[in-house]
Amino acid sequence: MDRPVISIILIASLLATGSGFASASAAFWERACAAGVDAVINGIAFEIAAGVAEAAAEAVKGGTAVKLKVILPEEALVVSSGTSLTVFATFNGRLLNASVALVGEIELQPSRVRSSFFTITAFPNGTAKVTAQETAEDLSNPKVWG
Amino acid sequence: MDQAFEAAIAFAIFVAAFSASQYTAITVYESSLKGLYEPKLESAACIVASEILLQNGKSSEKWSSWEPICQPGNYFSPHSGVELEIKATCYSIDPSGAVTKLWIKHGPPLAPLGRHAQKYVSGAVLDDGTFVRLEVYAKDG
Repeated sequence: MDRPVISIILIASLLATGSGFASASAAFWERACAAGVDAVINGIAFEIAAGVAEAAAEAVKGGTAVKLKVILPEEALVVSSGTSLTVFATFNGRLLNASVALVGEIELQPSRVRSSFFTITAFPNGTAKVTAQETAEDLSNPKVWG
Repeated sequence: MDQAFEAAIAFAIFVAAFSASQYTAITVYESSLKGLYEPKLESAACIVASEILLQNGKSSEKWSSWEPICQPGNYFSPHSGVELEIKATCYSIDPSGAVTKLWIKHGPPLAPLGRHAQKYVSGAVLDDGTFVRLEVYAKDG
């Protein structure tokens, strides 16, 4: 084969290999970014579940209702019922969700709350509920119905 | 110099630089990912400790017969990739203020958790006046 043709084939194959490297790297980083976002949403779900468990343990120990505040970096929808709670949040237009179930004696009252400030109230009978925390703005401008 | 040889050298430089940058980026990413998992592990340890406290309450009889179980599936789900270590110590405080260690119960993991494990500590005063200190360690397995 002619020498210039060999050079062209060699350079073309090197360029193809290089672009292959770059695209494989891009795919890896896309997956890595998704894993990072999943870790964040999982962390939020575990944080709220830990709040519920901690408040319930304190309520049973102290024999009185216990309130605990959880502040999240982003707004999220928390759906809780029975022994499990699910957190929904959007990130870059993607709807993500993560669930945590507590395999114990804690019973969550059914609730569906969208906020970034939550109040977890636990009672001495082992039940707990998740509600939205009133912000300072809500308290200074109370809504009057009817 | 031959054009193909020049291209091969340029490609070798590209591969070396690309590999070095990827290696650095992956190392940074791994350490930042550990930071993302830490709150989850701390929460997992908190859930385990709280559920043990709920199960046993203030009853000294329940605490005496209790044995630590280190399978995370007994406390929460999903539990994949989480390893636990549980340690409970019971202390008695007599009227003179002297503290006596009554018992220690330790639920060891399959492998030592090491220094990256997240720790949660809680405690309870029992009905007979003794005190139980509960330590739970959680690590990404």
